[in-house]
Amino acid sequence: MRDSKHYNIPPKYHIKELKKSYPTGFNLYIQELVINRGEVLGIQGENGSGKSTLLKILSLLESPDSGTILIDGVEAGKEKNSFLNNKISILPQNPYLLKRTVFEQVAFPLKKTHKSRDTKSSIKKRVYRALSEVGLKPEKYSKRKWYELSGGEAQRVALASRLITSPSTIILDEPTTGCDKESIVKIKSTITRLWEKEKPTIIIASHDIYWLRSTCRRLIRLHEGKIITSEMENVIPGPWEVIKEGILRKVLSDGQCIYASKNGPLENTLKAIIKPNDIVISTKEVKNISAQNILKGFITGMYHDNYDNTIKVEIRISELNLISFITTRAIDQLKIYPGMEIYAIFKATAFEWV
Amino acid sequence: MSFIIHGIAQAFILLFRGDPETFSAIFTTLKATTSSICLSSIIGLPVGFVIGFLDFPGRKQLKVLFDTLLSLPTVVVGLVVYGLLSKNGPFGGYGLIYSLPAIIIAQTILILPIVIALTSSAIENADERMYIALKSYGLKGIKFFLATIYEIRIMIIMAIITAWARAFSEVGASIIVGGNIKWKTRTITTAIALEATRGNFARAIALGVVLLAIALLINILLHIYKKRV
Repeated sequence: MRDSKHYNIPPKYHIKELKKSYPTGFNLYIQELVINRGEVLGIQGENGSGKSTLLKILSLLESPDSGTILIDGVEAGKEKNSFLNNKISILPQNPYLLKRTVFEQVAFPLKKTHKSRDTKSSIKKRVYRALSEVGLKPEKYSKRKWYELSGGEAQRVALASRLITSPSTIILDEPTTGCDKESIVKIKSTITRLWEKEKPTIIIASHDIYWLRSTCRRLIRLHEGKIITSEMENVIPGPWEVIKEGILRKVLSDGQCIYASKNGPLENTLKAIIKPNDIVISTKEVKNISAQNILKGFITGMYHDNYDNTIKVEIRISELNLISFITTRAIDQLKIYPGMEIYAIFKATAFEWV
Repeated sequence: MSFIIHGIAQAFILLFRGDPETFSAIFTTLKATTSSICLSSIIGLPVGFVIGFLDFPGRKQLKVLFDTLLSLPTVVVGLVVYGLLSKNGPFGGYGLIYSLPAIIIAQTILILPIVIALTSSAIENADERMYIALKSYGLKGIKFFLATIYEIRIMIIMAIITAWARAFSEVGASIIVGGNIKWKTRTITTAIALEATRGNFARAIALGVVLLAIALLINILLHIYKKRV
């Protein structure tokens, strides 16, 4: 009999009690964060929310003040980087291009960090492949100098030079900042295709929630150095008023009410969280069902999830933006489209509180 | 006035005839400056990198020291090196005084602060993102140093050219430690000093023209290189 532990694959990252402080007074504190192997994780947050700091720590460019980071089950930081070289690749925000040609820039990680077992022709092959992956024609771009590129092209060249070593973890910090539309689309398709092919762990930080939602499977939100929501969750901010023992109510600006049940102490500043899977969409106003909340709203957007073939539906109910996950089959049956009026249905007991 | 024109004309005659005495001075100058530039770069680039990149106690004081040494008078350097290398000095046993190596040592000491000060400020003022990028490629130690130097190569070349210009044009140190010995330690500048005091203006001006021509050539090459990168 073999020990069953042998069959347990540790997650890519397991972070516990991580703390990092800066003299400016900014503190990053992550109680626990698990990032699974082959996951596409989005980190959303405003500027200064701690995204870049977290990414630098995840890529081992910076070390935390305290806490543990397990990478593939091994504690990082003890033998810094030695076993992780080329396994984690970070594309920093607003990346710096080396003062070299595009070809040399993309080939740089191969030449500098690998043993020189790569022959010239194999390097050329890999550079050309990496450039094609990011949607840049190798023949056209490989001889260009660093200053002969637009912002989006520079970003994609930088991305190509991170992909060339086939890292098992790719960390992207604001990859679409300063990019034109074409580059934003190309970067997304590069990420999707890469994931389909090699299933690396991909971690992306961005303040652009729409782009993130359409690119990532799971989203966490950072606010002032703390994770406020994990999963792709809907946050309904307070104030909530107590109308009865264990029942809270929030009145929306258009007069509709959300009812929620909660045991234990009540504070009116609480935030309620509801998972997208707990929101049901109906095209007609339903009566006689057990759910307390039947709210009128309309669809503002629909995104196809590349990873599990579901549709993320964005709903606006008065001042609230919520998302719901439904299957492509349900879309077909309901015949819903952005701009359409719908009813969002969820139970009063479906909430979690923070 | 006419002696100036005569001197310029003489310069071309000396150059195109391949006057051995003139060419000996040119080669001595080139040998001395090339060697001192190589030595000061080998020492100065890593030292400048460490001062510019790392943060350690005494770093600021070190920076002030090297900035002060930028204005080191050439004759003072000559004097110190003379004291060290002369027969009764601590290194007198090597018999280096009045030789080309003595000039090289003096020039290296003279220009080392230039290489160090300019390199460290180039390192300090370089794009922060460059360091993040190089680190993110997993570079460490000597590879990191070399890649950084390559990235800021324009600034480094400017530092080296500035240092070279100082070595190339100095006369005080070379004359004290080299002794201005014909065929051996007579450089262009020491020759000019000698010819001028002898009243041999034509030759002095000719050598001056050569000095300027070489400086011009090097700066043209630098300009072409800067355009290409």
